[in-house]
Amino acid sequence: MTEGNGRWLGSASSTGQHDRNVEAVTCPVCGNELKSLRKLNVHLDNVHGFNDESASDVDSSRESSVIGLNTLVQERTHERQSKGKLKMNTSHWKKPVEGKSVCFECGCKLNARNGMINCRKCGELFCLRHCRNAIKLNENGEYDPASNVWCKCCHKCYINRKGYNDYGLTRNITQAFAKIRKLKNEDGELITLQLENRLLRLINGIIQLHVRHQSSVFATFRIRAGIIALERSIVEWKDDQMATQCGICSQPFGLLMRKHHCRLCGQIVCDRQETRCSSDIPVLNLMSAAPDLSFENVGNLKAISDLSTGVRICSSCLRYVFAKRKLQFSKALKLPEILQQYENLHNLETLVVNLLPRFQKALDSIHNAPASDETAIQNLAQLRRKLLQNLTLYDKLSKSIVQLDTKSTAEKKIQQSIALHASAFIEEKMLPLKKIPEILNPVSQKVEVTTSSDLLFNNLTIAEVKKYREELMVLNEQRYLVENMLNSAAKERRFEEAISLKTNLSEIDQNIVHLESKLGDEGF
Amino acid sequence: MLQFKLVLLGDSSVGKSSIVHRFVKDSFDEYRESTIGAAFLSQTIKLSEEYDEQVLKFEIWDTAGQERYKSLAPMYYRNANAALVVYDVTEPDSLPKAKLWVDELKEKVNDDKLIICLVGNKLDLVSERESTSLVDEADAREFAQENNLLFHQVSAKTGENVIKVFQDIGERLYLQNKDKIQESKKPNNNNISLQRPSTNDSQSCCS
Repeated sequence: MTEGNGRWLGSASSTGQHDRNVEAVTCPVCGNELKSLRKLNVHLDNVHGFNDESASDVDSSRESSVIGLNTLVQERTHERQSKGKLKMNTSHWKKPVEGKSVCFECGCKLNARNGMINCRKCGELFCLRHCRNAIKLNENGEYDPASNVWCKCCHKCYINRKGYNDYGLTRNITQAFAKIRKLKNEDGELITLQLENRLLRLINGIIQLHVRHQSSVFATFRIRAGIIALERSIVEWKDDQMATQCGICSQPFGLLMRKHHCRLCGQIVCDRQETRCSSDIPVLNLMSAAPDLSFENVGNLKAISDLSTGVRICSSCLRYVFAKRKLQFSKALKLPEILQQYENLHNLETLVVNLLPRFQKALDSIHNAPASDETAIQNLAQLRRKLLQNLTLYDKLSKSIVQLDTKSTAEKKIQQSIALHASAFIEEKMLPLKKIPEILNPVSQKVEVTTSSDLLFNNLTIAEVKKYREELMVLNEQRYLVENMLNSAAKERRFEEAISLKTNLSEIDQNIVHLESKLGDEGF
Repeated sequence: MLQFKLVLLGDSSVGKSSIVHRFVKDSFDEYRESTIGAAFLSQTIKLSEEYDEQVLKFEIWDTAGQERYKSLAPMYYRNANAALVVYDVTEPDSLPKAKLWVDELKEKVNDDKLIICLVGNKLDLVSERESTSLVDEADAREFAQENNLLFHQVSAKTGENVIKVFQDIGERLYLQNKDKIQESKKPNNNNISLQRPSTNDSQSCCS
């Protein structure tokens, strides 16, 4: 369709220009005045018999070009009708006026280059760019999804049609997910519990065996035999014959891929270095990795090092039993000092980065209004002072980080990177601060005066801010406590207590609000 | 039933929570964790015959003694009817702290109606210790008299005197609010009569 329009519109424009250039022409044969060149041609053809083949060719193309888009569409709908499709009602379509019509959407002048199309639904005229959508319409130009005629329409009609949804259907499945996740977690916890029990029994059994046989001459053999019996009693081993591939990585067993049983789940797995589907872990390591399980006391064993006996455990059991413990363990670990310091440094950095735009804004406002008022200047001075303080602190911290002793090359590298970053940061952020005294010399003098007192942060001293923050923290803690007490009191139907607690809670809230207003921006 | 707000104040680890738990739950925990913020408990007591066997309810705010939570205290001693200022008889430093609390109460609350009771706790430890490391009882008693405070020495561990402290406070509160109590007792109009009115001879459906 577009192709058809383009061809037609192209020829239309050429004739249009022609018409405009030669407004009135006289017939060279009879001297009659004709309104346009086209009319002259027709006149020549009809009256004077110049109707040769080439002329008629041109003529027919011109003839069709005059009909206009709408007629073309009518023709097309005629065609469609003849093919058994419906005829569109075009009475609501705006008629195009050559050279005057503008696109309803963007207001550009409609011509051959950008097209000239009626939105089939609303009938307004659009350029090609703004009439790109296609919707199904019935013969009255109304949206009808049951119709099988796709029509061009403007964006507005497209998005206003019934049932339009730009974002697709959304459905909240968080709850369903949470439910599934909970089930899964519960299952996992059960499995963990079961595996832990097995591990506990296994290790305690091994320890007991060691204790029992430690004085025996054949200790090694007896213990070995005891352990084999014990392992089988903990969990039934899967049948060797049936297993052709590792239960975890699915690699087929062979000469080099030996079969191993996990002592906790009985699964048959491989022992490849690459996948670590199972590993032989010394008892002592297992015990130290799960200190919360109640293992038998090994104190009365002569040589604890005898407990080097390994227990083969597959990777999935390991994950079940130890993953959570490992996480907690690593969480409890203290960060190395360099990282702790870096955290402080980073906090300072974000503080400065947050403050800078405010400072810049204050500076701009003073800059724009030459008759700047006192408060604005003071505000600026405060901000500048604060920034400077933070930056000096930052500088100090970064220097102290550089001076820390490093234990490894990796730490050394981290240290160097931090130092590099810190110096770049200071240089970058100090620049706008340095500029002000030059820009606003008189202001900077005033700045010195106002900042010489130790009034800071909403007219609070640092000590006060610290104190109020602490109080706020305590109040928030207490609020949490009282809320819990209130909940439990309400649960146990102790309503009189609940009333007292409620009044206290509102009192705490009042205090919190009061403190927060005092702290202003310096709160959390 | 009359309700009274009671607040416990004092240095940390003098046994405020232990006293309250002895009073409310009649239990003692040797290894009690230090209180966070302020805990809320309530307990009713019945006064003796001299005081009409009046039943009182104490709403007790057991504040934390640690310095960190000091800012919470004013919220709880404000509007309190009674305050227990506790010190540890085996810890000579705790009495001056208690005195400071009393001073603060007098200054900030400045209400004659507030009943303050100075309580020396851990009386059970007195016999084990040398007298030099103990708080001088006479000193405490004198201070209490000067400031018109109630004074008791108790042991939360054995329970000695604990109930008596609260009885004593209850009696004082009773005397203070005697008029109100009697007033509330006289008119009995607030009760709803559950008896069916006898003149119910209107048309009933089954007559």
